[in-house]
Amino acid sequence: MTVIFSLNLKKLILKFVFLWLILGAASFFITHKINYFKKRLWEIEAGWKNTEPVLKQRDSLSKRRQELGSFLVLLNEAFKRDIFWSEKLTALTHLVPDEAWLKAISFRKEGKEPSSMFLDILAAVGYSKRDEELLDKINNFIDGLKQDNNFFKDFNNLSLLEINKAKEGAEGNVMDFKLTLSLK
Amino acid sequence: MNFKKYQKDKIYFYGCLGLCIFVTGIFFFRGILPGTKAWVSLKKELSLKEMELKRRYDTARENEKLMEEIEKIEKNYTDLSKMLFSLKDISGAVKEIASVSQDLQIEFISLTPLPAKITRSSPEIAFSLWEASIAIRIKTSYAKLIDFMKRIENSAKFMRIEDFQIKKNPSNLLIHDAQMTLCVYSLQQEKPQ
Repeated sequence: MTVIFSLNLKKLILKFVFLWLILGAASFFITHKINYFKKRLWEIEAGWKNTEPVLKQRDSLSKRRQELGSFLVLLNEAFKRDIFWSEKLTALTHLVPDEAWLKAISFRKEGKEPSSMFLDILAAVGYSKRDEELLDKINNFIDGLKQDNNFFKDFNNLSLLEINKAKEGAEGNVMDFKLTLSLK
Repeated sequence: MNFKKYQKDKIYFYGCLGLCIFVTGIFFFRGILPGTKAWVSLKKELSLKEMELKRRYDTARENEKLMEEIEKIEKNYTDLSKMLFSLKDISGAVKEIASVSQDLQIEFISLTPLPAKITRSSPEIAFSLWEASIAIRIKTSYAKLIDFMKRIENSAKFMRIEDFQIKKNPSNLLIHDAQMTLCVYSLQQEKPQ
């Protein structure tokens, strides 16, 4: 029995020494890891300090970006130009047929919507004794306006408001006609 | 004799066993367990801070992009703001119109500045866009009138033809009477006097 206890004591001590070795290794590993984490945290915190100006800069840049954006929105809205009238009127002049002429042109706004903006054209066509011929010329002029994409692209609708016989004479008749175009 | 030795060995054995368990307990509860807890908590903290640091580095990169973007917007803004008039000095717009008329030798009948009004405002920047209208009447040939409108529309300072009326002059068919309203713009922080 005595032998049993003394052998078991040696085994027990060996087992515990082995256990302590394992625990020691684990402890060493954990301590090493903890130190590594602490070092890494220290590095990160140092990195944070370096990036603090970046964050401050970010705030000021965002503010500046927003400010400039607001300015640009204002300016772009102001400088939005729907139609270059010089180009439109030049195109219109080229579409006027022979023996027809423009008497008055006006652009009026009845509201802020483009559909409530109108280009009114008062023109005259001559000289023929046959009214049909004059009406054909007016029709051709209207068709020409509608078919010319460069001119008509900004308009939605073209209406013939009236045709009046302005003059009857030996050299031929003259008819006045009034058109209105609404903007798109 | 043997019994005594047996008792002694037994005491040694259990004594050593107790001591070993005690030492192991101290080792475990004072070393391994708190270390493991600290490891877990530090790992969590590290992961959060690493994410934050990455976000900050990303922010630094975004700042560079933002700066480039701001540079472009500033250039755009500078170009656009050059097209504005100063409302306090509407004579700038009048001078421009007069200069165009003079260049084209257009007969000038009248020029009337109309009251300025705020068209748009932006609360973020406390600035308002003011629109000043100028009503003008001129008398000229159709070709010169078109040139006049072209010069106005392509002017370095922005002018919009708001409305117009062109009529043949009853006494001279080659001459047209035209009246138009031109709009010019200005950015102001306060109301114009």
